Amino acid sequence: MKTRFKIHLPLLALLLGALPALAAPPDPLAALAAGNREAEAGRLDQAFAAYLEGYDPAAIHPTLAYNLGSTLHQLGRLPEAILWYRRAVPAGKAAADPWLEDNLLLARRTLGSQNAGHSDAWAGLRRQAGLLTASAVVLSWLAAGLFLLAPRRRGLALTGLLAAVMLAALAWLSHGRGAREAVLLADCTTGAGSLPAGSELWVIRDGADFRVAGSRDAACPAAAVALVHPD
Amino acid sequence: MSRLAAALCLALAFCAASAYGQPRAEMSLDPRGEIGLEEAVQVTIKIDSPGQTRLSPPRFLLDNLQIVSGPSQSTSIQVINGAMSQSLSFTWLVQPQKLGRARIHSATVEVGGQSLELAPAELQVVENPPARPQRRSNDPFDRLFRNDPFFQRDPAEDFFQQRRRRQQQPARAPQIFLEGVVDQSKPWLGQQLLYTLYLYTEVDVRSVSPTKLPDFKGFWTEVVPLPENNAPEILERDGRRMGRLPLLQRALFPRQSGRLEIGPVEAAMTVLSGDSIFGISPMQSQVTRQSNPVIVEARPLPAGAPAAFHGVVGQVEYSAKLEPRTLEVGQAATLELRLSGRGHLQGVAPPEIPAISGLQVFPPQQSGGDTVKKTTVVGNRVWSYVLVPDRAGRIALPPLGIAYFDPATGRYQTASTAPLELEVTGSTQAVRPDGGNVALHPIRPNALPAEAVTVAGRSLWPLLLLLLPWLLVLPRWALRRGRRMSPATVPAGFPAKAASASAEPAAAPAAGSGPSRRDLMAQLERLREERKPRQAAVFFEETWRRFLEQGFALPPGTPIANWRDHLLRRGIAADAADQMARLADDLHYLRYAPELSSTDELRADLLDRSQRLLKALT
Repeated sequence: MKTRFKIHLPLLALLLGALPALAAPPDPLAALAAGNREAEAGRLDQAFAAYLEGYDPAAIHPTLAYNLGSTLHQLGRLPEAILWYRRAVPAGKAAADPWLEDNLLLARRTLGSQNAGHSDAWAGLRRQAGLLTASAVVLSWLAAGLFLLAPRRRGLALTGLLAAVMLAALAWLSHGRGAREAVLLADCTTGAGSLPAGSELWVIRDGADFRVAGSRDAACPAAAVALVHPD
Repeated sequence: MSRLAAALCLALAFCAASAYGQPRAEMSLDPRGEIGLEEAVQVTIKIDSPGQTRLSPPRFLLDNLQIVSGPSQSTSIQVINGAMSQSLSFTWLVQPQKLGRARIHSATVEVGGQSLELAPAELQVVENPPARPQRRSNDPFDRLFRNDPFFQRDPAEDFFQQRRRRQQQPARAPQIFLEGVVDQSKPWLGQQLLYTLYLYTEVDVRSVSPTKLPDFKGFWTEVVPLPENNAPEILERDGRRMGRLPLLQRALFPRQSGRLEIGPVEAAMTVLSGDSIFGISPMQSQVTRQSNPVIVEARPLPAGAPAAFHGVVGQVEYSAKLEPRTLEVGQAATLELRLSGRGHLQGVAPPEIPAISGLQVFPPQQSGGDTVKKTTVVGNRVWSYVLVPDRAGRIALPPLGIAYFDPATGRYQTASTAPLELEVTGSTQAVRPDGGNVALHPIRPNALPAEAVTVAGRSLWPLLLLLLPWLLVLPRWALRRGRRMSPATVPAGFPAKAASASAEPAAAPAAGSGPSRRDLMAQLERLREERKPRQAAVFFEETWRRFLEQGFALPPGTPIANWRDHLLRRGIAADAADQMARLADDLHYLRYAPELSSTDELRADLLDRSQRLLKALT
């Protein structure tokens, strides 16, 4: 009996892991339609709220994010508009939507915001976290197969497992470390100078506040900082 | 009576005509008789000849005398009753060489092809010559210093008073020489020093032509122009009252430390001496003089120069100007850095402006140059930077500093600019990189066919997928290990202690499982506790047999003597198979040998060889 329990334990874990996926995800297209109706009626605040219903942090719908940004832009909330425009663009890539590109440029210029291009190694790793994780999974399966089918090569199989675990750990750690893309929603006065609202920065969590990456003196309160891709 | 008078006039006219008809020459000295060693004597040879007679300069010999200047010559022409006569004077200044007798002799003059001999003249050179009135012609400063305020008095008084004054002084040979001087004999490396070439003279100098100039090797040089009103100054030099006139000035900056030499200057000069009063022309002569070389000892700059020191030596000021102070994002401001002051600023590199967040700094344009104020070189450098902010807000420009060495204090100093601030506001217009104006686009009515922006988050799925294969594999492996650990697999006749220990992971190879070198060796190690050789041999053989059956498909019941052939058939290397054969022989010996007192060494040897053989087989 004990042996059977051990065998079925992974299956149980798989089921438990799949439970969150069973919850109904937001429907971006429905939210888009609802928000557009509100916007056509001139109720921009309500349109924003409707769009927000369809926001899924794990899979952001680009048009929905654009409309969120555009609504805020028309409401004059430019720093937040920049934040949503940025969320519509995959990390490290250029905007494929010319409307979004133009609106983002206009918002940046109107605010005179700073676009800090600084990054660090952890941020690079975070961008590649998906690739790292996929590599780790594939490597793990290969190593397990080797362990099972070639008993004489078990040392190699265990080495493969170790590498897979390390890759996965690296991808896991990159989520909590290094610089993150952020947009300032309010002015931030630091020892290194004044950063206007709407500035796009790379920040590192430093206790309760955020430190601007590449600068020792620039620290902004968490209330003024919005991460482009929150945890 | 009238006839007598007429005859007398004719006779006088005849006598006069006959007197003028013969050329005459005479030599005169001034002063005569006794003279001092420092006195100059004016020697004049005057030639009177009728008509336009061709004359050649007089020749004479000097004893204990040398020519100081001359000859200068003057001519006068007279026409009396239609007859022309000319009078020509040659004048020299000579000076005695030693005390005693001095003489001018063997003087001849060629007049119209006729040689005239002149009477010799003698002088006595004594230590204490008698006081004598000085001739005006011996003082050439009248013309040279005509503009000197010292002499600008009433002309009549000037004329007579000077004469009276000069009559107090003894006549001496006029002095003229060049002297080069520097204002600093031990400057610091890079510090300015001023080289001046002075002309000291007691005579009137009409022109100076330099024939040789120093190359100022080892110095940066700047020409220092002479003042427009370059009037000579009167000063006492070696007891003489002389005029001093600067002829050349250079600002020099030592480029290397150590001993540096400024070579001499050589110049040819036309000097005037003589009296121009009452129509007598002054004498002209050519003289050549060479100045002294000047030695400069340049000191190296002291150690401990700050990092911002780039070779500026002097006293400088550093300032910054920013215009405009308020602008929009993308507009340009100009930062002007000015370095000026006494010193040589050639080679000073443009200052580096540190990286400032939100501010683009473009390479500077440099202007300025060096000027000379009086005798000091003043440098002026201006660097203009274009600054373009790319964000709004207040952007601070930190103070910029430049280090210099101050020769006055002998220390390094730092000149700094004041901190500046740029106030940047956002722009109301945006332009695309392709030049098009940007307008706000509206809300999108329809969704674009774009993929969702996926964000890699912390999910358990990757971890589960990573561990899943091992969750499947490891239990199966553990089960097999568990079976191997079963006590039933311990060979028959194995010592009880070993059998109980075989429940541990390192047990004898279990039937059905793959060969394990570690398991086999763990099993064999237990032989060390078996004292009976036959039982040890049986256990040894059985353990190996099970290992070979599981790992190398040895048919059950195969005699030990056939193990070698079986391994060869399985593709095992001949060396390993031979080792197995020798091991089998020894096992046979151990099994059937008489009871020995001790088989410890043999068992230890069998274990070692078993280990080596296992390595070869696996």
